[in-house]
Amino acid sequence: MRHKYLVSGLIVAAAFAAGIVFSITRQNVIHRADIPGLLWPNPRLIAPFKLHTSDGSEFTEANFANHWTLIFFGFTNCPDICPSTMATLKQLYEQWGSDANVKHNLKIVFVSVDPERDDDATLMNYVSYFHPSFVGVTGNEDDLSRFAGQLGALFMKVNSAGIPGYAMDHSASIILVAPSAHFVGIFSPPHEVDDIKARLMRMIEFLSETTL
Amino acid sequence: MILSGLRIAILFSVLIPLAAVACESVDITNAWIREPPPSSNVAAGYFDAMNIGSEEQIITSIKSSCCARVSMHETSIEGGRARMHHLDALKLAPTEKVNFAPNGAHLMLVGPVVPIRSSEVVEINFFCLDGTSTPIEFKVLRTN
Repeated sequence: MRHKYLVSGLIVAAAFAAGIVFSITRQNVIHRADIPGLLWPNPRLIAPFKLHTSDGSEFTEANFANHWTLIFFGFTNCPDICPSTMATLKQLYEQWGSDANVKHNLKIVFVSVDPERDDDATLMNYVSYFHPSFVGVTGNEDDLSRFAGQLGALFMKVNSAGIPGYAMDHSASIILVAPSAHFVGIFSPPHEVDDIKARLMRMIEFLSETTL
Repeated sequence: MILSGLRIAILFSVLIPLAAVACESVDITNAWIREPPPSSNVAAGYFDAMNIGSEEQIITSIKSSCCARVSMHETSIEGGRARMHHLDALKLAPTEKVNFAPNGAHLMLVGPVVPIRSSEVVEINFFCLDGTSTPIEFKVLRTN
């Protein structure tokens, strides 16, 4: 009888201890996931799509493998926010590459939402001006819409007084895609290099220890 | 009496030209253009403008021989989307200061006919409501 009580007591104690450990772990995970811009706990797997890079290669969901990807949508006739954001991404990319604490590969992708004016040569010249490793991507309007829609990055051709031809309204955010092709993070403007880098490191550290 | 009349005449000769050159009451500083990527057909110019006069000043147009067209625009973020708006004019109350800065108000330089490359200087003319103008030198800077 006494043995029975002892076993029961041990079971209750073990369950209690497990509960505490679970609670602490859960709180820790929730706390660690509390990073502004991190899409957790429901990151979206990007469905198959087909665009192309400025060198004519296919750009699909397979191109996200083996590295983390930051995506910015824009167009080369955008005078202000696009070059401003691309300059920020260049600084970030160079800091990322020179930081000994950073162990994860990063790629920067500029998606032109103006395929009518941004041919491959124009796009290549544009992205390589910021960094030779940056990738320029575009596609036809339908394919671009489907891809951008998956990332919540709407764009629209607009006619505006004082703007010759047309302009493009487009998402001002920078999108983070994991090597598993999950849409995992979003950085809203204003874009500051130090802020993006700090959050990016925390996001990647957290997600690298998590099964997507 | 004659001296008094002379003083008035001198006073008017000073005041009338001052009133006629309204754009001189607009102090433009920190004028620069972001060097555009080689394949880009547009560039953006930035500056600080301050009305150092005692009356409201209105900049109605911007012109330069550097480009096919120069105009004032503003980038705004609405619902996460970047949009550009055309600005018809820039009104400055006395002592008011306005910053044209990245990701906000800017000059849009379309169709450059001269190279807009780093370390070049581009002259841009600001026209005020009364038809007067002031030329400003914009330095081209590479920011990346």
